[in-house]
Amino acid sequence: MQLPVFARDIAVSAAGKAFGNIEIMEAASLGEIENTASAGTPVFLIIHSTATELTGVLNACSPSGEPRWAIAVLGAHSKKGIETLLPEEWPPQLLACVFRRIFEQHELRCENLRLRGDLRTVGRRISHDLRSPIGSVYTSTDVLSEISATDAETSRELAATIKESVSEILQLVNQVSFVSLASTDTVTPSRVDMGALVADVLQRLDQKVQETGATIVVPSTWPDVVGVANWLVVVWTNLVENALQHAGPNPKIQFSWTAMPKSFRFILSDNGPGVPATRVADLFLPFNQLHCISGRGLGLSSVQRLVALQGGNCGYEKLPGGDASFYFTLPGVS
Amino acid sequence: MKILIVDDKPNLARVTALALRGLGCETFTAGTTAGAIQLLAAEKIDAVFLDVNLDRESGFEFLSLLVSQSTDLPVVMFTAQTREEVAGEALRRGAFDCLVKPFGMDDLREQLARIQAHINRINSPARRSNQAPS
Repeated sequence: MQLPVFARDIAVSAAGKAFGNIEIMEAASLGEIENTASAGTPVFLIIHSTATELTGVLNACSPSGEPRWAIAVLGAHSKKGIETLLPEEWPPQLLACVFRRIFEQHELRCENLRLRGDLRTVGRRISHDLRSPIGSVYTSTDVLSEISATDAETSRELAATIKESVSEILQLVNQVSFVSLASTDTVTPSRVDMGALVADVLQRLDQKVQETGATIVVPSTWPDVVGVANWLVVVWTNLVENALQHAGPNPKIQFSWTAMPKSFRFILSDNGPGVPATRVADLFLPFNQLHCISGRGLGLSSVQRLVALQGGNCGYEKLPGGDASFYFTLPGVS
Repeated sequence: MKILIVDDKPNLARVTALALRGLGCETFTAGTTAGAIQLLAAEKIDAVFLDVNLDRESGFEFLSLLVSQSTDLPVVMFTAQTREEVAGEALRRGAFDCLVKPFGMDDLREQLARIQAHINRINSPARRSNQAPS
């Protein structure tokens, strides 16, 4: 599009080398491109950096929001904010390689956008749509429980079973939608008072802590970190629930932290039997690999994803005294 | 207490009505705002339970309408979204409270107790004398 003659010849030669049997079309305007390219046909656009409609071409999107075309900008000079191929990069063979990479990148970008949209759909729409019928079942069983309180014990037990199953389904829906949305939404990390956040988590989990008879030990001071507060609530909640579940009778759960050069390491240890050596490697299996295994809860994989999104990492180690220790790191406040 | 349930999902409306009747309320249900308006005109409704998403209608916009007509009528928004996503907008528009689905009998009991306390305050002799024309 709007290429000087000498540049046009080089571009056509390079396109032939890059894509083989390709139909070359010329267009003088954005409208002409849209009229001549059939819908659904992949288009590779070569445009000069001085073209009047450069910005419009670069910003053009398909109805589904993906970049409309793979685009290579050829020019005599670099243009701020626009990746321009300069004359020294125009030998046809080299240009052909660049064209192929640009096209692959475009395809990957489009696929990424589609997949992120799928995740958002799962996170928002499907989980919302599932909650309504689940809600019906949940409330119905609660009503049944009340009505059958003076009737058959079996009815009450059945209602309790249904209600617990529904709660499990709900928890699963909530976990999946939370991680899906965290992975796709744009959230800016900010300063977080870790002490206040942990106190909030422990308050929410107070009933579970009481039921297990767990002893909780927390440090007297906590650092401020850079993170996303509601993600960190989920991280700590999952770690504590994991500890309460696996620490055995009379669990003792200890919170601690250590300062590292540019980050903090937060540790949750318990006096349970720990994780068998054969299970340690995939303990924090990345969320996007969970489809490879079944029968595994989502909790620790959710922790892995949420910590990674905040620039940290997580892991497990057995402490010298035998306690099991789960940790994650986060950037400190600069 | 007379409760109007506005929800386009019949199963949820039915089970909410069942639960509230179990707690001693008289219930009315509407699947659309037009149906709700008719019932509000015909019955002396004490509180409204209103779903945030009403198919093609907006629960929030209906909430604003209800609040503009009567600030004393408690409107409880219920939603399948999280409380964080909905509560801010709901309370800003004058909702009495938010109930996140799924809710159980205890959640409804608690709401009814709050609604009853609100009604008692409105009907208190002190308030009535403040509002009486001089």
